[in-house]
Amino acid sequence: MSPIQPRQRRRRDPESTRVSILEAAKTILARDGAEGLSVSSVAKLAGVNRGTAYQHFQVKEDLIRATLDWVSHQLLDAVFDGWDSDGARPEGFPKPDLEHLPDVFNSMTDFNVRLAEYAIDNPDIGRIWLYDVLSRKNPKEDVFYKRFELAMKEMAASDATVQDMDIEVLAVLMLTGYFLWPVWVRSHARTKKERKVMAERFAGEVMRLAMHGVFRPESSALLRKDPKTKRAIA
Amino acid sequence: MVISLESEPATREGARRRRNPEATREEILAAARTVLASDGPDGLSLSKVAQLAGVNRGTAYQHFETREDLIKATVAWVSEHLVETVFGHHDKNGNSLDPGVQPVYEVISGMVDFAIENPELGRIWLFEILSSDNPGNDPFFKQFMQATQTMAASDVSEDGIDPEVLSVMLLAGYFLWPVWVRGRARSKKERHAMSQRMRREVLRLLLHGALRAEAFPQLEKLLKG
Repeated sequence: MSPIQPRQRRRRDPESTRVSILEAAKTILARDGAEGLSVSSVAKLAGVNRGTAYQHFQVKEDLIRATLDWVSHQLLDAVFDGWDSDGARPEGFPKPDLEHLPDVFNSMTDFNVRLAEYAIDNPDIGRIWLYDVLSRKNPKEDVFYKRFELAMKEMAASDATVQDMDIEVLAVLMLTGYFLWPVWVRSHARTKKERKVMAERFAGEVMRLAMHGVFRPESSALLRKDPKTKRAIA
Repeated sequence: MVISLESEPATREGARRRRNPEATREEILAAARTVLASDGPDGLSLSKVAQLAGVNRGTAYQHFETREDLIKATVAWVSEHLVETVFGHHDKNGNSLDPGVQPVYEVISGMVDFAIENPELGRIWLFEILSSDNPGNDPFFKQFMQATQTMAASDVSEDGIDPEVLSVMLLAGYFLWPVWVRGRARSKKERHAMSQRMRREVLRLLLHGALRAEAFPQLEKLLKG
């Protein structure tokens, strides 16, 4: 064993160095935004020397991209819990169709609560991640977005859903709701318990909305025409 | 603040302003909206706004002491315009309608159009309202929330709606959709088509939801229990 053991350990384990850099970058990004982040401030917080940090990330943009990818993977692990990112169902998980409804329902409810809780536990970085995904030319390069859209498409294709959904719009609508709700929660919940209740309320309303919409079917005749074109719109 | 008045250029413009502080205030606010729309809240400073408005800094400070005051005034402007665009519908006799009975599709359209036309300002408003301890002080949010509550309590709507969650979810969707659109639409026509998609999907979701309700009898029990 040489006397410079710590440095050797790092050299032998670049992956764990990378992880500590990404975690530090996530903290700074959440706190100060992209403008407040620099490779050297991240290196300092991570406790690695600047040279090492630059070996991993030459420029700030690389570091930000890698950090958001890292967040996306964490989100995928936290929310899709055991689901494969290529869309394969975990072993024993039922097809989302009428025949397997009770199981599908339970898994959807758990999914909604996990996503709401992740967003509330990671409010700032969650929102930064969301803006980034929405702005990307190809949002499907993001592992979580890709998986989320796939889950919705699978659902839309099954016989348990209504016809004629615009999956892309619906996916954006849902994700923005999940990641902006925490701003409201922060200004209205004082305790951890209150935050948890508000996560469950959000997940519950998503489920209710998915099942019933807002208007009763018999009232919908009133709403079906575009006032300008007089064409049916829904 | 006599000094700032004296140091103002002796042009007709200046004379008009001196007589009409209300117009000056409007010019400063319009400049603030331009700066906020292009640079966001981080890029906003009173001196930048004063320069763009063509008034001297002293005059700008008379109207707005801090950049927070400017942001607050801008948020109030957004709110006022949202009230007009979204809830400005009148009945046949020209009386304004109660927020609870505003025509649904027109409200959705008004929201989508305003958000697409004022993407940055809309997001600034949204973030202020969601972060506020007392969002009910905002005229538009107050009406929007009341409209959702009235609708949720009426017999045209489904049972068990959480008006607060639903309001936040829809507002977030309306005001973040332009971020998605900007990344994708190349022309005015494409932006228009994407606005149309948003209107249609919100309306469809409100009318039908996403799952076939009759397929989920066990869910009904859970919602009621």
